Amino acid sequence: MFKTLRAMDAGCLTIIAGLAFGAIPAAATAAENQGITKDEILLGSVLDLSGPVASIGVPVREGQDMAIQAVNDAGGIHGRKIRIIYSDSGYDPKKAIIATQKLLNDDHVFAFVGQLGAAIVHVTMPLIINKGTLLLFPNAPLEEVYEPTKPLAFTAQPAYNVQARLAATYAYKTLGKRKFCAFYQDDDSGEQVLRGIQEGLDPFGAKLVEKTSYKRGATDFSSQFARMKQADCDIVMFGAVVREAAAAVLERQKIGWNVDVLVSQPSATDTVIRLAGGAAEGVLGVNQMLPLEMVKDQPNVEKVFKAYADEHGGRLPDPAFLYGYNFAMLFIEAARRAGPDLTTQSLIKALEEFRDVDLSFGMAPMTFTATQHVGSLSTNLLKVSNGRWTRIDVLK
Amino acid sequence: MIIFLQQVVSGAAVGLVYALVALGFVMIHKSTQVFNFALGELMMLGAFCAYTFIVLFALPFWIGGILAILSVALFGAVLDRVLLRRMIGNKPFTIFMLTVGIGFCIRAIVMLVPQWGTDTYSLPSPLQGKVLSFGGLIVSADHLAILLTASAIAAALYVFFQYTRLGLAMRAISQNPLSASYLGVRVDTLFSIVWALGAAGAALAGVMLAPISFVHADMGQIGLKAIPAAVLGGFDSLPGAIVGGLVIGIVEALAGFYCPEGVKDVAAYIVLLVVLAVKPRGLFGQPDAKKV
Repeated sequence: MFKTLRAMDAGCLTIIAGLAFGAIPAAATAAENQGITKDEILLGSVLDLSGPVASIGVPVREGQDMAIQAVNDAGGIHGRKIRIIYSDSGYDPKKAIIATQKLLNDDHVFAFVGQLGAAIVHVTMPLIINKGTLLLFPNAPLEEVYEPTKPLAFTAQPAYNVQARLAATYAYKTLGKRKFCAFYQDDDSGEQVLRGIQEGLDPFGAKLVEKTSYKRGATDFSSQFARMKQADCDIVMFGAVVREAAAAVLERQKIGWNVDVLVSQPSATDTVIRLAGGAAEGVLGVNQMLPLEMVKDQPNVEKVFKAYADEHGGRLPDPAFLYGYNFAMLFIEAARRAGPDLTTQSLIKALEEFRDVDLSFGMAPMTFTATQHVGSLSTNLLKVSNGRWTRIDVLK
Repeated sequence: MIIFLQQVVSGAAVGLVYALVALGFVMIHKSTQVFNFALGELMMLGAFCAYTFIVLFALPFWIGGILAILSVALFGAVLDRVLLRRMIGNKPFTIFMLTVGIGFCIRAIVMLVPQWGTDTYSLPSPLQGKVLSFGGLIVSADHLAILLTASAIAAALYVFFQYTRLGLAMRAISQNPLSASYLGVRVDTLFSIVWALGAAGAALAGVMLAPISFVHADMGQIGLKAIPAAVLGGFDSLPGAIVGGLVIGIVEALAGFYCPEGVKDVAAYIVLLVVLAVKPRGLFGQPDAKKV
């Protein structure tokens, strides 16, 4: 009896295994070609278009659209036009998962470009790459995207902690700072900055003298600054996002404390200067993307901005526009190099042959290899001077 | 001691912003028995209106601020006239859900207005960056303005409700709207005035908060801090709303300075739980008894 059952089990297993192994290449082939037709490349992007970081999501979409529109108007890539489907996450991971699954399983997109937000990328990346689809240039400087290297994930930005480590090292060695304080958002992005600062200080045997956090959306930072002031630190490293960073810079002014401040990537943008006004003078920051004010006079950028202004009543785009434009252009460049036979593998191969590819649109030159899927590990050290960000150094 | 006082002053300023929104909750609930969950969004609308008048139309701060408060007050009255009045007689939960929906709609509309949208804007006040020093105690002019304005508003509301005919009529409808209407009080008009006053309080909070924490579509979240302030004070008590806001603001500031990380964010709710455990009707709550 048992023998019979065992024989049946073995038979069933053989059939199941046969089906499964037969299905894997079929699924892989399907994923290879999904979203690619004779005359179209279909992309997906889950952005926050209505939630707390919609002020970044909306201009990112504008930037991506503008780059794609330009290439489509010029005839597309090897005869294929690009179409991109956006889905709103509202910066809610649950909604982002549903949106990603829809793009993967209903729309069958070829790749995800510019996925926005650390919390969103954290939960959607496994879905995307397990399905055999490409996750390209997520708008979230997370180490997990490129460490360890994942065949289907590429990012343009060094992680928050890498940039914070470079910044802390610079502050210690070059600026001669010794008493470090950290002010950070109590989520993944803030924690990563905090980790990076500590990593930067460890080689010197230095430690943070005070660290204080806040919840996203907080309006009052008086107690955090009072604690740091009492700790008598000589530099405050921020792991804060734009609005709260600007409000905290105002708080520093409000309590009459003239301590140096160094902000992390999300806050080293023109928006912080616009919001904090004169209180932002002298603030230091790290950002791999150069601020909009620094690049807007370059001829290629000026041309795009003029086209944008013509469509938007004369106004310049938001700084986050640059991210969307650059990420879409990176995809376009890779798809061009992949040739007419565009597949997931041919795109990966094309990307892994990028060597110092410079789009000259505010972003550092990109290099990808088979073992390094982060385009650049350097960042710019910036300082607000006369109401504008200026570059002081490039940190590597 | 100076550091302690510093935290108390900062906490009091933030607490009075909570209190202004809490006053709106209390006024509307006291008179109409409606729990208006949209007040946080009305505060945000006030800030956006102020941004429009002051930055886009380049009006002086004070004039723009007053116009913004009047606009939102009018909007509050229109909300009552167009939506809430039709709901009289419905279950409180139905009306509460309507106000939740109104809140969502206000936020969505703000995000659709081209010059508003999802961006964050600064609203520079003439006092921004000015700091006053009182023997080591540093007070920003913005905070001082909040302390003075909110105190003046609280005093004015007290006088209004205690000593004016309109205030008396409002107290009457809060006690017994049916009897008040038999005595010739225009209950429906008063409901609209109460809504206008509640909305104006929230808008004032928005105008005062904007120079400190900017103008953006997520400002309404502060309404979630105003609810414990209102509940702490007794929910139907105007002085209670002020005290509730102050207690929560000051406790948050002190917890942020003296307690470990994270305590600040739950301090308001811990205080609320403790107070309600000792005084279930809040600090100034009246027993809900009727003579039969």
